[in-house]
Amino acid sequence: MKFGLIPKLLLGLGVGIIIGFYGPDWMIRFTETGNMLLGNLIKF
Amino acid sequence: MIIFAFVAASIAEFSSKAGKLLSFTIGISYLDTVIACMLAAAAAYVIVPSFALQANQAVEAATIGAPFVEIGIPPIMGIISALVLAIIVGMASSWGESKILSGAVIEFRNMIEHVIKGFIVPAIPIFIACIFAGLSAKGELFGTMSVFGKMLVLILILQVVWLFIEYLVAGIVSKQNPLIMFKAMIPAYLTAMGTMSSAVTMPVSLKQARTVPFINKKIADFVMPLCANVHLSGAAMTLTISAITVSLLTKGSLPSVALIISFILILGVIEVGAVGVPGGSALAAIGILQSTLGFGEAEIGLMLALFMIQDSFGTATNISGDGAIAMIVNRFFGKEDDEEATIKEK
Repeated sequence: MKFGLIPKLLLGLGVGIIIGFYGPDWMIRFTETGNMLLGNLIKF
Repeated sequence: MIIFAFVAASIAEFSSKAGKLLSFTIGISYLDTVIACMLAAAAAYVIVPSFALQANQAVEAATIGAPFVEIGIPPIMGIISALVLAIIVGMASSWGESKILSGAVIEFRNMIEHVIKGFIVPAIPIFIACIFAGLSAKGELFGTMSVFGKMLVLILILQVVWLFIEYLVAGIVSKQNPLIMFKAMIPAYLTAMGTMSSAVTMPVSLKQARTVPFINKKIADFVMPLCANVHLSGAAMTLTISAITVSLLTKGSLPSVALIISFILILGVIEVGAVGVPGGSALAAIGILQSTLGFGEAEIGLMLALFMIQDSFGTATNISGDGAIAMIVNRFFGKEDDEEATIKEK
């Protein structure tokens, strides 16, 4: 089953919020690393 | 890189078909986009501070852990340099009739489109997850979400208002009933909402425009496919409003009017070539968001999230507005006497 972009975005948003609220510190640092790397790549 | 690829290829492609009709249509589309953005900016300056107040008063952000690694990937060149280089290369390849250079920039654009479709767009949900994880961990989530909800409503209302203005002006200029064209474009609006793609909707908008009795079919054949690529007033309005809101949300103050005007003027140029992939307009605008408004990863992530969520409405506004542009172009080039010239231009 294939999902469209909006369901994936909403899923990403939900997962991100759950990690932010309940995730351990290392997981938050992991998402911050992803944020920095993906942000830099997209801007490039 | 995205800006260079899109703008240079568009110029190389369009300049080879250059003519009065082409210049007029692109000029009207640019003017339409800039005025739409100015209206959006004016509304945002008045309305956004009222609903962003809550976010400003939000609790101070908590400190969270730093990234495991920090790798800087600086862009090859600044936004203005990329834009000027794209214009020079695009025009030079067309004027010099260089098939190799024209082919190269078009191929480069196609390659970048593949990268966007194959890597960047699939990565955006992960990027959004990372951004929102950071926002929740810092305790900034609720202020942001509340402002975003209100901003989304503002964007949707302004897009409808802009469509109304577009058709009103088109009706006055063309001295024809704009409701006929507007009704004809409803299937295109709904298709665009469902597909979120101007390219996929274009055959529908073309077919519908051809059914309007006062529109010269040759004009419809020329304007609708062209405007599906160069006329993105809905997307540009969203970018303008969200840029102002995100700026207030993250920096605590509205950007200066001069800054927003220069942002809009450049955005209008970039949007001309930024179609072909979902979210292409937002991705192409990242450069000016950075250089003009000083946005970082967090601000850009927020902008992308909002843009993608409203993309179906933005695309529907872009495509439906093409009908109004066709009415205006038809007023000046649609007479029987101009048919021969029209064919030549094409």
